[in-house]
Amino acid sequence: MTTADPAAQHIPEDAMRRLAEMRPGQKTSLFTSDLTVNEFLLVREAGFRPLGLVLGSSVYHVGFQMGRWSQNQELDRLSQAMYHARELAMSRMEAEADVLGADGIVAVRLEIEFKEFGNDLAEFIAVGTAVKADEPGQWRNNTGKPFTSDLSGQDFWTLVQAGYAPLGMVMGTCVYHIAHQRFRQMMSNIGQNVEIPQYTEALYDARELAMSRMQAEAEQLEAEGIVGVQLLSLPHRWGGHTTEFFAIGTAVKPLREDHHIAKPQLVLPLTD
Amino acid sequence: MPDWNGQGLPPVAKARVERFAASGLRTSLMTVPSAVGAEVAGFTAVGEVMGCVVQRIAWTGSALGTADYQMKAYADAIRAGYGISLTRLCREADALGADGVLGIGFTVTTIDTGVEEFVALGTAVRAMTKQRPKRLFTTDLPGEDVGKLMQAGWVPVTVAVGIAARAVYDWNMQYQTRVTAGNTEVQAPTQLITAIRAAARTEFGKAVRAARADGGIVSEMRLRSWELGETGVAGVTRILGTAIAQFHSGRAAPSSALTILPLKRS
Repeated sequence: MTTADPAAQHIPEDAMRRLAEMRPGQKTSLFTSDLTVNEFLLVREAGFRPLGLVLGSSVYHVGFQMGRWSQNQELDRLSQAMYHARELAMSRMEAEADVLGADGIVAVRLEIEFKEFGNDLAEFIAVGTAVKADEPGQWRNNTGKPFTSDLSGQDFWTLVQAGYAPLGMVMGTCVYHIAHQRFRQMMSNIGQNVEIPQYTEALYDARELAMSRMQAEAEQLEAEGIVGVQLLSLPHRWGGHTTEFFAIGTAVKPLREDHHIAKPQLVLPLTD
Repeated sequence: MPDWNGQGLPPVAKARVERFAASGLRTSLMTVPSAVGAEVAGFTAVGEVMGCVVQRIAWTGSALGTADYQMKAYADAIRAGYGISLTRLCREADALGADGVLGIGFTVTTIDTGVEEFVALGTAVRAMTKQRPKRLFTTDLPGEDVGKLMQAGWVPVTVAVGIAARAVYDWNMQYQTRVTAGNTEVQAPTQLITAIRAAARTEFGKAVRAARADGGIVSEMRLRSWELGETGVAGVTRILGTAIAQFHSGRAAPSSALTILPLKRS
C-alpha cells in the first residue's frame, strides 16, 4: 500500500471509468455522513454501512435559581434543565435514526451553545452518523433504541475489533453552587498556604453526583462498563461559583468471549 | 482593457490560464502530504485554480416583504455565490485540461455593507490514465483523504453545498424567555433551527443525488442565528461536503487498515 505506482494498483483507471459512466436514472441508495474520511473508511472496515447524518436540537430556556451565598449545594433546577434539554436533543436524533432503520449512531457530538440573544437561552444539539451492520445481529440496546456512541470512528473500530459493542451514551450532570467563604474565615487565612476544605468538599460532591448518575444510566443498560469517559467542568454563564459538572461516556457490552486486540505496529512519523 | 460582461472568465484569468498552458508550468496549493496522497491515488497537479464573484446581497432587514421571504432570498444569494465561484474555478481547470480539482476551500468576505466576495481556491489535477472522466470532478478533501478514499474504492464526484435561511415570529417567545419562565423548551427557535437544518440537509442530499453519486461526506455544518426583536428569530446554515461514488465491484473495500501506534506525543 506504500507504493506510489498507480499502474500497479489499477485504481485510477477504474475510478475514472466510474466517473465516465455516471448516468441518469442509476439506482443508488444514497447516504450522507458526518464522519471524516478516516472515520468513514474505518466504520466501513468494522462492518457498518453509514445510512445518514442524523441530528436533533432543542433551544431551551434555562430557568433561574440562586444558590445560598455561604452554602455548598446542588442547584437542582439547573441540573434538571441541563438533563432535560440534552435528553430532548438526543431523543430527536435517535428518532431520526430509527426512521432510517439504523442499528446505531456513531461519532455523536453533543454540544451546547449559549445564544447571544435572550436570557439564558441555549441551543442543545446532538449530531451523529446513523449506521447499519452488514451482518444482522442484536445491535440495539435493551430499550429497543439504536445504540449511540460518542467514540470517534477510530475508537469505534478498535472497540469492535476487540470484541465489544457500544450500548449507548450515558451521562450524568450536576450544577453545583460552591459556597463563598465567610469573612472571618477569609481573614484567618490571609497570608497562609492552606487547604480550603469546603471548596475541596464541594468539588468532590459535585463530581461524585455527576459520575454516580452516569453509572446509574449504564446499569440501566446492563452494560459491562463505560469507556471514553470525560469529566468536564463547564462554567457556562453562571459566574465563578456555579459550575456544571458533566460526565459522559459510552456504555459497552462484550460481543464474544475472547477479547483480542491486534498488536499495533510501531511507527515513527517524520512530521511534527 | 475591454470591459468584461460577466460571461466566461475575466480577461486576466483567461490570460493567466493561457500563459500556463503555453509555458507548461505547473503550480499547486497542496501541502507535501496532500501532494503525496494525490500521487498515490494517481493524480498529478497541473495548476492552482480560482473562481471568484463579488455580489451585492440585497438583504437589509427592512419592511420589504416578510422576514422569512427575505431570508429565503438571502439564501438564494449565498447559494448563487458558491455556485458561480465553483463554476468559474471549474472553467479554469477545464482550460488547463484537468480531470479534477482537489482541496477546494471557500472563503466569504464582507467587502462593504451588503457586498460579499465568494472565493473558491483549489488545485487542478490530471489522472495518469487513458480513461478520462466525462465531467471534471471536484472535492473539498485534501490529497491525503482522496488517496485513502481511492485505495478503498471510492472516488470523489463533486463538491456539494446545502444552504438554508429562514425567519419566524412567535408571540409566545417573549413569555417563554422571561426570567420567570423557568425550565422550558422555547418552541419558535427550536422549530426554526430544526427546519433550517432539515432544508439544508435535503438540499445537500439533492446535490449528491443530482451528481449520481452513492453518498456524501459532510465536512462542515455551520449555523448562525440571531433575534429579531423580542418575538422573532432568524437563522442561516451551510453544509459543505463531497459527493463520493463507489467504483470497485464486490461488497468489501479492497484495502484493509493497518494498526499502528505513532511513537510521538500527540
